Amino acid sequence: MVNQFTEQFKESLKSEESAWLRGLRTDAFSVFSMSGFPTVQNEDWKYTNVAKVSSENWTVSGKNISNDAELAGAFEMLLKSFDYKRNGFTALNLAFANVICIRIAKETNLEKPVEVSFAGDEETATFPHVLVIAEAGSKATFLETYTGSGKNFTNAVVQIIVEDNANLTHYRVQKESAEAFHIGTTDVMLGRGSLYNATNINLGGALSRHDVNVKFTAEGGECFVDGLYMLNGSQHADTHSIIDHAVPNCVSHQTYKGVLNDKSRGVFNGKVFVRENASGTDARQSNKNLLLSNEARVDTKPQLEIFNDDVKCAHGATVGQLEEEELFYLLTRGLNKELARNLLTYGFAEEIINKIEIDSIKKELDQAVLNRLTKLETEIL
Amino acid sequence: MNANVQIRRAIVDDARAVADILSKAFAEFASDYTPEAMAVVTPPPDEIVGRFEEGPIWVAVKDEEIVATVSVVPEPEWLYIRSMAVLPNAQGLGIGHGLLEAVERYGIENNFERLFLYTTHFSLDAIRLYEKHGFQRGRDTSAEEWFGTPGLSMDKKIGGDNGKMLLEVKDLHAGIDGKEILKGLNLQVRKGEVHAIMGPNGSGKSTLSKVLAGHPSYEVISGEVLYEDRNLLELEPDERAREGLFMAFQYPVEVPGVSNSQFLRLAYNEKMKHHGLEELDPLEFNDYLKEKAKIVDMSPEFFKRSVNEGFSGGEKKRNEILQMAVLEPKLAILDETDSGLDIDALRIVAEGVNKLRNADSAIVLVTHYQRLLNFIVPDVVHVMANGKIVKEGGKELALELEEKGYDWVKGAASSR
Repeated sequence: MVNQFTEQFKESLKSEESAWLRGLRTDAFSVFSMSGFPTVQNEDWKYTNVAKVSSENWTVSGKNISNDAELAGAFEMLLKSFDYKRNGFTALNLAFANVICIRIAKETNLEKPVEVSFAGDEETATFPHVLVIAEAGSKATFLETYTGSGKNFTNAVVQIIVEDNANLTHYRVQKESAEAFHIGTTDVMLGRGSLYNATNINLGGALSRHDVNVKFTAEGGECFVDGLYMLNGSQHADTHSIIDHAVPNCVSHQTYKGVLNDKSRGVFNGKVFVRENASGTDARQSNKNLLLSNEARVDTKPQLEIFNDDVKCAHGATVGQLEEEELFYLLTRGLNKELARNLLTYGFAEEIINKIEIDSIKKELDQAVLNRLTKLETEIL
Repeated sequence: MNANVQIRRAIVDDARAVADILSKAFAEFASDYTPEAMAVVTPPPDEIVGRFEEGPIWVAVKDEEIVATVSVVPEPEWLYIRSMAVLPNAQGLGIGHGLLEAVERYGIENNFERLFLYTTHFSLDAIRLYEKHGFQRGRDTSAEEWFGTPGLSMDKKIGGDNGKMLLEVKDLHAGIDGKEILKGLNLQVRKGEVHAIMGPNGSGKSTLSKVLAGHPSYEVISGEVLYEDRNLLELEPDERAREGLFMAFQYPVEVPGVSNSQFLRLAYNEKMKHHGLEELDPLEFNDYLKEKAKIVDMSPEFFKRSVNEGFSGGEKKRNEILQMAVLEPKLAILDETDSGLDIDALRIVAEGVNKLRNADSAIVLVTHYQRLLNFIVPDVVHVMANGKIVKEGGKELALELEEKGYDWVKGAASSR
């Protein structure tokens, strides 16, 4: 089936020198051509209508040149293992993927964060595909930021392996323009005794979606998968997460918070699987949402699927407004109502932002949060 | 003061006697002062003569002999008191008080708003005298600052309106969810006073606190509350706060994600702005906060932590008193501040409150138990039962209540 990307794909494939990758891209593109973008009939996309993405005309930006030598070995295996067939976005990403490889060498401790940032231009479609391998015993911070301008379409994939006893901190900051479409997929595999600590911040985009999938592949792993979506206007943000306790004795923590103003809409769907043999699992998940207007809306669905008795699991979701008693407390200290509301909202969001240990990023996000809270901005900084 | 004692302004001819008193009175501290500091507090007569140029000196005369002295130096921000001494054999006669009264009168007549002095931590009798006279401890001064001897500053606001009516509750009826809890309550609080409102559970104590602070769930049915001659009930809770009303919560609320210092600076600056005063930037405020935190013995690590989050019960209550210290309210209502505190925490909180007592403001302690009043001595005790004040008295009333139990006043309530 011919679509708006067909000609552009043919053109871009010419510059692909790697034979196996050419094959992979071709397969991926044919999957996309068959399936197209997901529709709301698909249970996973029930609340997120991407019809507007397909109705635009996008110019694919960036070249998909990849380096065979760099891609050999572990990176090749990782890229080949990517399940691009899950939906039209993952298939389209692989077809056009601009592949970036990051290796954190065995037993190294990187002081400075490894940074990648993407900024799509007006009317363009960008397809970053980042492969991160944190080798055994390494320790590093990986920072991923998205700051596009105008109406652009970013469809990004990040595949991460945290090998045995490695420790990876991952910040994903999505600050796309207010008109942008942003689709992101993060796949993470965790080795024995590894630690993966992720903070996913979603502030931008007219429509954004982030799928994060974390799988424990050996015992003793631990992960934090936390996030914040702060929306206003008619923004729509959807987070789908899957934490897969496929092996025994792993620990997962997940705290997602949403702040929704105006007519914005949030979706949180969090699945935690505890497989039959995964005894000693400790899994916690919470999703808290603060609605600042009567027209804002959130659909939250935390799900636990447990096939083992020897586990500790807790999950919960709340959707609510600011607490009367908290407001009263601030009023009795002389803060006016607007300031009190904004301060509580700021605090609600800060719980996630405070996790960020890179000062410059934290300050920038503080500022971004404050920008959305009129009046408070000038008072608190 | 003893009838044989007379206080008068000194004349130049008294210089020798004044120098003599200073050297005798400070002799007992010779080992605590550095030689340089000792030289400063015991100047020779010719130096005393020079001081007449700088400001007035007073002496106390007993049996025709000069036995005590004090001098002051007018400075732009205050009247600075120095070289105060009473000969050992003339102590205990109220001469110190007499001298301070003379100084205060002079200060008021010359439009000073504050008296200021330096002393040392080992001058226990002197500090006690100053505190009894209404002085408050200021900041600690380092050895480098003052001739190798560390000390502290103390000051007192003067010329204020001590004794002026601050809060007047008249026949107040109020309740929650359609249920009347306060049934005709009357209360008068004047500046400079500490009141205790005691009563059994369910007597309406907490309702009174919440109505005064303006909690939206409580409704006033009838009656009047005047605060500095204004109708308090017309003001929103935040306006009340900016006008100097403060309530320490029985259960302080946690505010995750907002640091104590951010929160306190916002609150402080809102008040300053309201009164047209200068706001403080984060650095300036941090210094201010550090000083205030000493009052409740709180370490600066609490400034960065989220408001009350993960604080123990005692830390939360200390944090309430810290907020009170920062906001310097005219009327502070402490709602069951003693509940859930062990004796050490109670002592720290109570000492903090005592340091905040002053002539321009009033404190209302709402409490079930008498033990808080062992530490904070009230001027007036009110006993509540069934939504009204049923008994009033001095601090002895609290003890009597402790002895006889609340059934005693419940009887009083029902017999009315």
